[in-house]
Amino acid sequence: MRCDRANLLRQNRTDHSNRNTVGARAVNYLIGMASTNIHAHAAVRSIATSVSKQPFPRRLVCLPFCAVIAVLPFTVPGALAAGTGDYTSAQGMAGQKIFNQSCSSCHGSDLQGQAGPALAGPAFAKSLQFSKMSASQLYGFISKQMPADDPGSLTEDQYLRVLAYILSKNGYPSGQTRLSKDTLSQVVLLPYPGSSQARK
Amino acid sequence: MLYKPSTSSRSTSRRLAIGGAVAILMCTSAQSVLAQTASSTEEQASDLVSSPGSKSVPSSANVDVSDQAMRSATDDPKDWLLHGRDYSNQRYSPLSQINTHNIGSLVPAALIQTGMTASFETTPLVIDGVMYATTPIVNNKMKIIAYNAATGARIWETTYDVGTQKLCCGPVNRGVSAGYGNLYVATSDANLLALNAKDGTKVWQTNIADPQAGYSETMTPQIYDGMVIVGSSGGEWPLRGFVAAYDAKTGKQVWRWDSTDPNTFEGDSWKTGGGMVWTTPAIDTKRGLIIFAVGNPNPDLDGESRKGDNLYTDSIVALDAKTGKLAWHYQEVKHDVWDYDAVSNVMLFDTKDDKGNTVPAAGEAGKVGWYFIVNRENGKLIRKSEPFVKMNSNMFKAPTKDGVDILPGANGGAEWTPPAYSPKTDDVYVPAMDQLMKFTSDGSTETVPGTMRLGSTFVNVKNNGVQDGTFSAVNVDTGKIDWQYKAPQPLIGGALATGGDLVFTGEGDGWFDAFNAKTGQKVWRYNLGAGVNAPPISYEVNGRQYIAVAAGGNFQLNYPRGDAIALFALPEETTAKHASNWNWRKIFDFASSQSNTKQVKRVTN
Repeated sequence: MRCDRANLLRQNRTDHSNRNTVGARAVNYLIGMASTNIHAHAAVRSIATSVSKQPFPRRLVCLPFCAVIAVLPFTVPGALAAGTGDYTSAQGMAGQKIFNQSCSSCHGSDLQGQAGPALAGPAFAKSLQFSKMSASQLYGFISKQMPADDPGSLTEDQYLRVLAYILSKNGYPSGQTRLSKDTLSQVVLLPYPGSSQARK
Repeated sequence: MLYKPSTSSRSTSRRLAIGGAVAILMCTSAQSVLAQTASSTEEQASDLVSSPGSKSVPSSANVDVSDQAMRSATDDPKDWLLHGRDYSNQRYSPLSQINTHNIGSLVPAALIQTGMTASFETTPLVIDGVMYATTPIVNNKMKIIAYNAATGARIWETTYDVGTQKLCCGPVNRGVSAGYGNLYVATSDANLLALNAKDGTKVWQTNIADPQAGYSETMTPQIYDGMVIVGSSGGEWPLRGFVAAYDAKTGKQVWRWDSTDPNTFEGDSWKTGGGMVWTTPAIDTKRGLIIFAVGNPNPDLDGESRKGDNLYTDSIVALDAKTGKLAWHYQEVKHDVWDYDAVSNVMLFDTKDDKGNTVPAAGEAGKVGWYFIVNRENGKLIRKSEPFVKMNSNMFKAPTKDGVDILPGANGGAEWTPPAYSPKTDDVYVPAMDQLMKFTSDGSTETVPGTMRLGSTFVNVKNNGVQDGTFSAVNVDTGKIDWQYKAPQPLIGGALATGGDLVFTGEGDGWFDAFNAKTGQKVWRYNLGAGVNAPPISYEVNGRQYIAVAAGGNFQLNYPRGDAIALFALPEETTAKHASNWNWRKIFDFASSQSNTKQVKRVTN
């Protein structure tokens, strides 16, 4: 995935409420959010977290160095995209059909938000950053409260597919592992991956 | 307040809307209806507020709207100056040119197409021949538009680019308020705008609350004594509601009253205990009181974490207008776990107490299904009405894991819908609904900032579930229902009463109805293609009385969407002979509709 660092930093500088995540987010962008190995994710997050504890200017200064260190042990982003992500692309595709039937009338056909909130793009990213919501919490909310006109009416598998679709539309990597209730706790929503929509 | 969309097909809705629109055009072509074509292009968003190519209202039009004008709005029959026409929120126009004798001749005078198709709840204002209206939010834009109130011709429009918005109940806005040469608009992303009434340009803008947390604004602000007064929407999020007053000239906050009482909530639950104020307050100018309805506690449907009465949720509340301090309150539902808000506009009128004395009163049509009337001096209950909707034996039972089927459902009763009142009948006219809902506890009370926290679920009962509406004339002196119209669908939108002994309300299937205010007989109807789910108004321009109403459907009940504001009037050349020869009433089948009106013998003390 292309890394638009200048845009990223510009975006982060305007996001005053999330300044401590600037370093962490930047590192993630620099190594490529296409990284799909859970362990790699954890390592990156560890580095990112340590960076985020630094004062703001110092974090910026160390970004390139940290990024290089972070990337070295892993494969290139293009290869990572085919790795093991948080859901399978088949789940995401199946989730799109369910979303179009049950969710799009409120959230928009492109998840951009209408009567219901946006589920992709900058607005969704801001919402995640505000709420610090985990994937398990997001799944819990969706499966209990949605669709608004008939909450709880989908099957567990259908809700998981819808969540997979939401993840895919926000640039979270797909992979070989099916998203399940057991793997929800391993899905990392923040830092937000910064899809092309988010960088508009 | 929370919506529960119906499960009917959207595509069906669209077909109905299109079909209805075609029908309108066919019916109105002979009547020289001005159908203004909406602009097909959206403006480029270069600013939060843009007014490209705006024209000004005629220089002869008075847009100042002084405090004196607002205080005496009751005595100005021509204009619809305030949200509820005057500070009483009675929505009573004394105009009588259109009356029970000639209502059959009422025809469309103009059909304004705003170009913004979505759930439409606006109450337009009409000031000196100029109509000011807000649209719903479509693609994150909302418009504020000025029209010629007689022809429907657009004078200016301003587009507001909406930022973050989190809405429970559709992309709605209920209208502008006017004062001191400005228009005031509360936006869905929780900002307050002041626009120049002449041309729609921005005067100032201030933030009311954090929309990311779940705060929003759907109400029309109230203007009083140099202040712009707003409540807060967002009762389904873990928030604390409030009412705040802002300096009308500068936008600086004057005072703020928070709507949850720590002494009546367990622990710290008052900090996110809900209590939103969704609808425009009434003003008791004699007593200097702002009187309004406060919505549900949060979590909506699970009270375990907020034990106590949870004041001032589900209450009628009066504040001192100068200070924002609490004057009195009356709580309709203690410790609510059914989303039984007090949410419709509070209305002021005089009533009789049990001893026959005239008492200044405030009334509110609750989602819980009664009309509550309290003493305006102290907030004490004078009476509550007969139920105006169905109530079943499960009412007030707590939601369970297996689910409980309850009437009224979580939409009421009476939703945000403002009723009307006629001093000629002493009746309040209340549109409401019967929706049998299953309440199921699911333990979802976890607090995630910026995320809905309902605590349970409710859903329309499928297969043989109750889904209908009522339009009730509730006598304020007795609490009895003088007459009631049974509608085939839940009613949401609003009512208008006029000096012509008429009351108007709309239905979700596109019908706009007029009733004899005294008898409940349906005397006229017109189908606008989209749901008529907004409050009607009446005004006069150049000696001609108009009835206007928005027809854009409703998100909460999934009624067919549209984008129109319809203006009705008697034909300009109307004579008694003409009216009798050209009687639209003949094309409608009244046999079935009249049979839906239940005549109730009026009881007096």
